[in-house]
Amino acid sequence: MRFRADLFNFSPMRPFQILLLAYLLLAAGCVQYHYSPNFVQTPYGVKKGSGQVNASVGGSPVALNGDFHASYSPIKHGTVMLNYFRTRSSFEDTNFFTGPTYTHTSKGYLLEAAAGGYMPIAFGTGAMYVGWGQGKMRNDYGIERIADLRLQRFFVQPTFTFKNDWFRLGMGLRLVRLNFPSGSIDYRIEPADIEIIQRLERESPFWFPEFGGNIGVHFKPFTISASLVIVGTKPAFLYGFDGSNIGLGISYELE
Amino acid sequence: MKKFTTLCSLFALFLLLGACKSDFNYYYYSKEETELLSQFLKLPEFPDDYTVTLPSHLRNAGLFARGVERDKAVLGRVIFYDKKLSKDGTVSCASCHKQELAFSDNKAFSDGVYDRSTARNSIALGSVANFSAYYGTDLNGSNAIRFFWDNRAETAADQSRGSMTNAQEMDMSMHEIASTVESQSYYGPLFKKAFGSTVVTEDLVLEAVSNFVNAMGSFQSKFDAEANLSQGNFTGNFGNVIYNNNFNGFTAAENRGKQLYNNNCSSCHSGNMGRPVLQLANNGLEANPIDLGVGGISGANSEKGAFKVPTLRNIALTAPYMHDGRFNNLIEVIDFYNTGIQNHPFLHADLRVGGVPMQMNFSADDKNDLIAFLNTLTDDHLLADKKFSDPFKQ
Ligand code: HEC
Ligand code: HEC
Repeated sequence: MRFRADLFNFSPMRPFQILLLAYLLLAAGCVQYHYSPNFVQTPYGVKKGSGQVNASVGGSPVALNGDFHASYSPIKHGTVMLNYFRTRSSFEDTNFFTGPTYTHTSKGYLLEAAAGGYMPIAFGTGAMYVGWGQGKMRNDYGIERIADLRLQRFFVQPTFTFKNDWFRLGMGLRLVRLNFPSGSIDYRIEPADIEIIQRLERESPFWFPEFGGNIGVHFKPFTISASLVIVGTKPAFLYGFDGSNIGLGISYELE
Repeated sequence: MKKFTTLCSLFALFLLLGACKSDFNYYYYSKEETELLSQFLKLPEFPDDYTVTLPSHLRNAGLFARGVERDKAVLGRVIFYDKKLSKDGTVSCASCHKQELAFSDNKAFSDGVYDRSTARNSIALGSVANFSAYYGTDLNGSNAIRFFWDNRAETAADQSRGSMTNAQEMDMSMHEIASTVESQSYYGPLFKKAFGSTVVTEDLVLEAVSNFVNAMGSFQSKFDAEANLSQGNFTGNFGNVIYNNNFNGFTAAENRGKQLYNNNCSSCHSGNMGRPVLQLANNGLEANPIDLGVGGISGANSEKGAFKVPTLRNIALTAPYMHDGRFNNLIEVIDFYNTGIQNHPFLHADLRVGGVPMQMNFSADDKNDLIAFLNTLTDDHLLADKKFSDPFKQ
């Protein structure tokens, strides 16, 4: 115990935390994944009629992702949003002696809608969204061994945004309930991978938090922004959840 | 704000109503594949698990089974039982290796194609703890136990090629084997599962059979159960110590038989019934053997008349005995070791005392005890294990 405590207090560099972050980012390495987080969208509109569309590309050490988002405030203090997310990855299963054997791929999408209310808080805007969506992940484990899982996600998402003429900052906590309602799985998939899928089947639905944010520069009416989301949850090797998504995007804002 | 609350409640309702239980559908064969296969074969919906886990007493003695690829073993099983793979369509591997006889044959010489006879007695595949644990130079290096009475095949694939192309057994060329496999529709899905494609090659056929053979093993006998228990809390290799102690679950006769076996037979056949101690030996069946065994292949004088030392698992089921099936029952075998050992110049030293063949001087009771012990080596589990049974319809 003392050793652990020492590690925490060791220096301002906090190696443990750096390791933890590295772990979160790398945890999904060379594991096929059945869930990958989209960005936590933080609409910047503060009045009726404002809205934005955004397109981003992002990724994690394993996946390449695309995020598309549109939001609009039909009423004062109320916003609706629509998010579409695509993810994919592939890697070669390399046998130490014989070289690459199979190409593994994961790909999937998620389409979701949310509605929420916002109001000024401190120097920015606070909002709360509730959303629901569904999607599908297809994992090919090589030689056409495929696992198709459908997924449904419900979320509650408090956010905080700050903006001025040239700057955007948004942060959000997404509390997720992730459910895998059905799946179709080739039994030839390696037992270790089947085990992950069976664990999903057994333990679904999952409740977990995700933390996300974005920071951007605004050139009216465009914003160029960088986004990050981290899944605070189950280790990838047990559940096949990709742990993160980092990327760049462009938004068009409607005043 | 009111709208917002309504929305929230709606979502909450959705959540409650939305089914929670996941319903995953696992499949191995597609619908079309199932239809095709079920015309010819009765295979389980999901493939059997061919993983081999040896009992702890054998693992502690340093034996461990190598991986078997399930999908290849499933294909290998069908090949093993397929009579179409012989010249006249009457013989499969299983004709001479019958599951109910621990994969041996009850004839001294087995019937091959066109009523030809094999030159030697079929070897009980169930006489080994597990092939992949110590057979095959591919898996176990140059010290590995080789296949056949004369150790002429280095790997399970060599051995299968030998059996398929042997004129007394299946009498096919490997090319004919591959094209026959290719022409049978039910092999399509099985090949696809095993190798990711339906292209049949000789090597892939052999690889599949090897996986099936390497999955075979016999290690769930009464002897194994008792050996596991008698280890107590010991782990690690205790040599023969645990086998020399009396087993609690054995009858007095079985324990006496075990002691006789350990004193007179285990130096060759092994005390733990795992890997035989010697790869080959001359046990003095003949002073002037005609079948030269290992020496017939290697040409070495000292190996003329020497044969593979078999392990004795399931021995009660695998009569007749020896490479030529000369003994019809275990009494005859024991009588031979008791008084019948011949003075071959290269008779193994363990069977020789003061320059002459040993007389073991077993009493009638000793013989019965020895047989009682040999009976504890029968593994009923292997004999009934469906995953090694004939998958063909009728
Ligand atoms: C016609 C009877 C016959 C057929 C058919 C046959 N075998 Fe055999 N098998 C034998 C005989 C006899 C031996 C011993 C031959 C020898 O040692 O020379 C043997 C030996 C073996 C061994 C060696 C075991 C050991 O401990 O060394 C294996 C393994 C084996 N057969 C597997 C197969 C497979 C697999 C097939 C089908 C591809 C097959 N056999 C077909 C009769 C047969
Ligand atoms: C010097 C080593 C050696 C010793 C000691 C020995 N054997 Fe053997 N045993 C062999 C060999 C070699 C063979 C195969 C010989 C052959 O078929 O030509 C064999 C074959 C057998 C077989 C026939 C196996 C089969 O599948 O056909 C039995 C049964 C057997 N032994 C039992 C015993 C018993 C019981 C003892 C002790 C009383 C014993 N052996 C002692 C070497 C030995």
